Amino acid sequence: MSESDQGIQFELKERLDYPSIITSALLTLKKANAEPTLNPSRIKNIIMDIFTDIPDSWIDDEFEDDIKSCLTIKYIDVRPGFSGVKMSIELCKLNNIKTIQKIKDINWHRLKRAIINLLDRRAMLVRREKIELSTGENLKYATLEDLEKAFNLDADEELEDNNNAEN
Amino acid sequence: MRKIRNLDHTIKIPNLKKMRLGNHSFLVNSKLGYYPYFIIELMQRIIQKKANNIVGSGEGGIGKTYQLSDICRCLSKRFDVDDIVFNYVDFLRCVLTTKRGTPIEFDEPSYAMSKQDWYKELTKALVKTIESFRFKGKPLFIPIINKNLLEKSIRQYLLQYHVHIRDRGSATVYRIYASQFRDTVYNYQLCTLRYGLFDNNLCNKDSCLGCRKLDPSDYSKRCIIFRARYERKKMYTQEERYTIALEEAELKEYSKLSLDEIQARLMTHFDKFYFPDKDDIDIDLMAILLKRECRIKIGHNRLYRLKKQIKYDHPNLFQTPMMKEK
Repeated sequence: MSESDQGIQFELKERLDYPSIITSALLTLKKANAEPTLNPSRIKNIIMDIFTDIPDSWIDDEFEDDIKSCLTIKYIDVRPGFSGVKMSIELCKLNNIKTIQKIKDINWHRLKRAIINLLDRRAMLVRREKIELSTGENLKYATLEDLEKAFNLDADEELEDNNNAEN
Repeated sequence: MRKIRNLDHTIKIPNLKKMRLGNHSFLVNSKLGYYPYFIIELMQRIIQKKANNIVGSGEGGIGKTYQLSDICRCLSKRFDVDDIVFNYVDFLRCVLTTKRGTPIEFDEPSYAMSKQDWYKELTKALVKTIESFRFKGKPLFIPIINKNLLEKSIRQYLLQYHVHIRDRGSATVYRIYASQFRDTVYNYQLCTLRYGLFDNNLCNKDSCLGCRKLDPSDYSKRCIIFRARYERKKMYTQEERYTIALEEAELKEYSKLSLDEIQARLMTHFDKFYFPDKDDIDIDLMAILLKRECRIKIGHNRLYRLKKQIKYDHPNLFQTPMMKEK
């Protein structure tokens, strides 16, 4: 717990239990996915609900990048057809008929993953152990000889200083 | 931690990176939770001129002093064996002489900072020094077997961190907050410490005890690695303490002797405290002789009784016998 979190920890009464709200939303999504009659529109609604639950203060650069990657563009062939055969591109161009339609969509699975990653970055998913790991390797002196050289130099300097002081 | 940017299975697994703190290397990846949280927080507190009193507790021989000195070495490159002190005088000398930000490690403070009555005044002085420590900006590290051995005021209100050392190089750091409204203290876990043996590239022996280079007769062959220098300093201090303790124990033992026994020991030095021209015994000389030669300390009343007893038991040694003197 950092120094700044200290005040927050002491005022438990005046807070919404927001993590449990998000937990219930995620559990609802799990149940909806597990239903035998899968309803894609319902799942989309739930993911969108979780997305709108996220406050602006939580949003970071990585989340914004993730959201951008969630947006997908679909290209659909919209050429008119006659008895199963589609009109050729040249004819469409001559008659000013649209051949391709651009449809912007959201990849819901990616969006869900982006939300999960955001929660993970905020350390809301699992308790992450904070570890201070040191190899103990001395980077100033690679070998014992280097240390001895430096130590002898220091001792010589000290001797010189003492001699100067005495003089 | 693990970032899956797209669903095309480009998985990016970060590695631990090297980071230098002091002269030693740390392995860091903040996303995985590997970061020098404790040292960085201490550094920030030193800059912000906040008090830093840290206690390190753990069973005997587990490496409390090593662990804390490792932290000190990472905090400041200037930290040396001289900054590990064993008594209050050295502690004050360090407070006055070392540069700002250099940590001080008060090793084995159970003598000076315990609940015992031995050094009550010393404890008071220590509390005062600790209270005003932030003006000097020197973090104080106290390795001790159990935190409860410290005075209650120090333990509850003057400590900021508690490093619980579980095994060699493995410890847990707690931030201590004392409640302003109740008589309770809150301990929040800050992080876990996992330190390898410091200076293992210079020497990988985990203990200096038994090493030939620790204290050879030839001074030029002495090991100059930090932990060897510390072990030497501790060895000399410990020997000094044992000598003082032996003298005290001997004094205590001899004070139980009867007057007859003391007289028997003293009579071998009779010539030294008898003045023939005065035909008398010098009491003060007798006391000095008893302390120096026989290591016996007795009070003035007993000394006068002893003088009379000698005169009574050995009238031949005096020119005027005791009865005539009266």
